[in-house]
Amino acid sequence: MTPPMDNPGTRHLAIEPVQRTAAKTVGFLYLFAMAISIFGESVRGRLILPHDAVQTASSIAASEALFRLSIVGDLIIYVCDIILFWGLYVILKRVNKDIALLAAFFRLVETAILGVTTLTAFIALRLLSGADYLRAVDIAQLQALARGFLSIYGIGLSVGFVFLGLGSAVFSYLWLKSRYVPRGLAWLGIFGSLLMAIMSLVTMVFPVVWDRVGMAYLMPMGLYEVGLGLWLLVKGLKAPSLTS
Amino acid sequence: MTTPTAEMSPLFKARMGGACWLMCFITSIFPLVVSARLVVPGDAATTATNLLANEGLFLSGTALLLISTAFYVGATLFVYEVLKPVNRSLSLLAAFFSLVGCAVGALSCLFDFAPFVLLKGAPYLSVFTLEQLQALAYMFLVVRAQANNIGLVFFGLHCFGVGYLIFRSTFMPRIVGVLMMFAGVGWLTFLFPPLANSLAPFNMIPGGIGELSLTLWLLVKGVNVQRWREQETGAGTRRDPVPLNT
Repeated sequence: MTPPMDNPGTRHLAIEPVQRTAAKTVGFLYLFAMAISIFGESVRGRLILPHDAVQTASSIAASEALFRLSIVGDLIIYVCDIILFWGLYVILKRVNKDIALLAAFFRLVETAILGVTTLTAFIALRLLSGADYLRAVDIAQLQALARGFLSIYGIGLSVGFVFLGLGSAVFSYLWLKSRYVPRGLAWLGIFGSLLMAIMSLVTMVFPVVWDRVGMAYLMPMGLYEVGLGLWLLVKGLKAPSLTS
Repeated sequence: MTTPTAEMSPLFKARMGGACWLMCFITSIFPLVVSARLVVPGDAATTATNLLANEGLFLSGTALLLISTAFYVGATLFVYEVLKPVNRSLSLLAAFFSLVGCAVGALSCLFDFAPFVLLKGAPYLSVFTLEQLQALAYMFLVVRAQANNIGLVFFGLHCFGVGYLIFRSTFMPRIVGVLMMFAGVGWLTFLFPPLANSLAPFNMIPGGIGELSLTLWLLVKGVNVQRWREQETGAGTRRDPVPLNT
């Protein structure tokens, strides 16, 4: 590893092989995680009905394996995410090590929150399991409780998104500084990430906003992650030219 | 134009650490006041009525708590950077404890939303009586408090580690380190809830004093930059292998 340069006149450093490997890995993981998360969202969107506990319980019972797969898919994303942050840190620490570490810290907190949030889905499954000891409670009540826990699953995602947005904004800022990828992509990242963090907080305080915009505020972020993933996988890192 | 690998000055890191810690304090006051006013201990019905009448206020507090946690993540990073010259591994260990605490703390916010899921009258919840829903909602607030206390244990380990590193440093006063170690011990009482309950609120006083003194010192005085650089290079040489045949 090259020691940090003290000479402020020195232009950017050449890209190291480890950074290129990390870039390919990060690119692949962005796309892989996006594909799994779309699968998970679509499964849950189909099985979980907004205001109907009985129907939700029976559709989950009918496709329990699929439902469990969508939750395990989320857990797989979170495991991949940790490798992804590590890769981003390896690439971007040469721009500013301290700030790259800050971004990694935010995203580790995010992953911990999201990982534990999956517990609510398993609680719902347990309530619907028909185990003997649950006979003490009315079946309609168990179904209602299960549906309530699935609502909390969605809120847990929002709580995680606050930290996801902050960490991703910091990483995007480093992409912008680095000139490794097109600046437009980095700006999209800063915009999309901050929008995600702020809107997650806003919809917590004003649930009405969520009813109006739905998941639309996550679109710029989705576009950024897919765009950056494709770019890193296909084009790789661009060595910043001295003239730009 | 691009900049080469940037290094922030130790004074800047110290100031940023102090500023983040201060913001963490400030943003956590409002949520504490709101929840103390709305949550009536032992009274699920009144608590439910209060929550429903002040949903925006209560959830603003939750959002602020998450922002406060974000500031604590920032404070963790900068304090790690400031104390790295004393002992890099220990400083990283303290930061890791803090991150676990932040995650647990943020997660406890999740239970703030559960009462509203139960109390806002979704049709499917009509299978419960109002009293049952209120009791369940109240139970989630109790769980939230307990989750929060679990987070405090990890913050205690962070504070203790930070205190020890300050005590061993040459560039900050030892008294701040001692106060931070006491702060850590104070938060660690939450490891055993009956002990924490019998000591409350006195077990939070060391935390308040220690963290406030560190915050103010970082903000106003920062670090002794010359000694910081000396300890940084000193730590560098200590890692060099010692020649065997001298």
